[in-house]
Amino acid sequence: MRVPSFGSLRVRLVVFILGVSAAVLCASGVVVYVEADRESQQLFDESLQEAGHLLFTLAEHEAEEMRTTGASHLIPMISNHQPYLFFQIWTENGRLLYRNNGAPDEPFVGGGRTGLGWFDRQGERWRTFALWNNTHTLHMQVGEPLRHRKETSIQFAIQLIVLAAIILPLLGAMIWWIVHRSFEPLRRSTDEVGTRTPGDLRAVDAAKADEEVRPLFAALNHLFGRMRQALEREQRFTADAAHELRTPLAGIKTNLQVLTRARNADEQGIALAGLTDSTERAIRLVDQLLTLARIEPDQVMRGSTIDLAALVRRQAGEHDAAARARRIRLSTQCDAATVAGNEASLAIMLRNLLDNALRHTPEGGEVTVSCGRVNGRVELAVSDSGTGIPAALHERVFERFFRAPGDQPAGSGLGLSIVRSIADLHAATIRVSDGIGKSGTTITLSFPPVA
Amino acid sequence: MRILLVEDDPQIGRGAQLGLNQLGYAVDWVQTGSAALTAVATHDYSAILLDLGLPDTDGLAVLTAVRARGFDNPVLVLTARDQVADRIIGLDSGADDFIVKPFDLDEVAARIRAATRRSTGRVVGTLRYRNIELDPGSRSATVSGVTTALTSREFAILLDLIEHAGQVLTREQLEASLYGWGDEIESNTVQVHVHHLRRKLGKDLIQTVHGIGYQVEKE
Repeated sequence: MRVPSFGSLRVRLVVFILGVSAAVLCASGVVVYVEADRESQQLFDESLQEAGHLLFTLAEHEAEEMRTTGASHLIPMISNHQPYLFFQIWTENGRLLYRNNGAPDEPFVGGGRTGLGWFDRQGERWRTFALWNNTHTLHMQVGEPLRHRKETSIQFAIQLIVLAAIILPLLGAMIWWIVHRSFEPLRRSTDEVGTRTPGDLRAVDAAKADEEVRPLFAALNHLFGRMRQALEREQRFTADAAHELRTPLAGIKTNLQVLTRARNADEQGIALAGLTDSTERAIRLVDQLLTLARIEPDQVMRGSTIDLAALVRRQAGEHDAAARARRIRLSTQCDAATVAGNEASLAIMLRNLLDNALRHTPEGGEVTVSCGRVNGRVELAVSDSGTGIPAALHERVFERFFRAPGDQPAGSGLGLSIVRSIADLHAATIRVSDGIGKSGTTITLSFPPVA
Repeated sequence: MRILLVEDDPQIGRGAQLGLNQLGYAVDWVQTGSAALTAVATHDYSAILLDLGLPDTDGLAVLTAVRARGFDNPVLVLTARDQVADRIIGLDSGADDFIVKPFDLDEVAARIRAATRRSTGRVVGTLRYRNIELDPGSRSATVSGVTTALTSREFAILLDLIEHAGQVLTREQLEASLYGWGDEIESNTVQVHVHHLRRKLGKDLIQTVHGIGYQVEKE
């Protein structure tokens, strides 16, 4: 069964608790009513029987007298006491000897039956009681219209309903108050978080929170923590990026000033070359920064299966001209392998790996890209015969803006950190080892198998 | 004035060297901390321009090392990070000034002048010697109120001599403040510049000490 939401926990709680309470109250009211009715029927029956016996004693006595005097004063007195009580006295041969005012002419029970019974007349039901005297000469019949009993029941029912009408609103108010009080800490925390400034990512005080909301607060605090980290990372990144941009900008500005004051063609040439190089560097840095910023959001990149071998061939093809220009032998060695991930970012990763390898490989060197399955995982490796990375720096080269000492030509310091970011997104691990022929570097990425 | 530039970035280094040279300074440019220490040990510099981000050592370590070796001329730090904390550490380590990249070459030159002026105890920018007033900022010489145009090399030689009035400076010493490493030194240039200075400012100002060099008399 779908529970209607009402859009508010408080309203829902109040409505449901009140609804259930009202249902329970009504049900118990009905039970009480039915039980009370049954018991009152019994009591009524008993009193009817008693009245029957009593009347009969009196009537028997009077009947004796009636035969002599025909006077009666006791019976009306009794009858008046109980205005709903009607009776008939029949002889053994079916003659109506006496009936009180209002009692019908026909017998309540036929055939001289005794005990409790029912009698229907003009659409009205009567409860009856009949008995014989000891000598079996007089048949006493007492009757009571049910209407009287019903009136009593209805009165009782009305009392119950009035009681419920008083209790239910009180109950509703109490439930509302309790629910309101219970939600108070939540509301206070909501206000606290709601009035914060965007940068205020302090943890919400979850220690005093109730058990039910503590997981929510914990989750909120966890999110706050992650946002705080992301924010700090962002700020650090922005500061680093600005700092890194200053270097090529300084090169541009300095060489521009030199150019305007150049005293001869040589100086002009030097300044122009410096300007060009610095500008190129600034452009590459901005490109890399943008790349890094685009892959930074921790979007989960799943869904498609990428043919790694095809990707490697394509990227190697794109770098072919650059490799040829420096007489570097660029080869691929790929077995069929697929990884789960985002093709565009994997391409960026591979491009950066290849750029890096080519940049650090001297003319006439060698760069090899290989991929395939190793121990159930998919591995992608780029090896070069370049300058290599000292073991102490194997970790640091993946840090943002880190440049190895004497790294010439100077890169942006972002290439390998881009590689690592993309690897992280694909749950791939990175390993650095020796490259081709003792010197050089091999960077190996190990991807989890496609599920 | 001879300056040591310690900067690993080739574009900035080469540019700043040439640019400061255009402004009349002899600049030696090195790219590593160890080369800087060697240069300081073997040459005299009026000031050092030191980049903090060096490939082999931390720029601050270089600063501490040159100070420890007794270099007491100004050291101006070039930095891409302009955090207050960095400046405090730098100043406490013995830096005289901080210049944030990207910088203006004229400003760098002015800061070098200001720092050297402070280190020699002068408070005003101009230098007076008898009836001559030298303004290193505009590289002009005023003799008895009449401004005389000097080339940057003439000015450098005159400034060197006046700053060391009473001392004899050898031709090599004067050349050192005119040329950085790798600059082509034309033969007899110091003689040529001294000749021009005498023509512009009067014969008696600079005396030739035969076989040794030149001097101006102590005031």
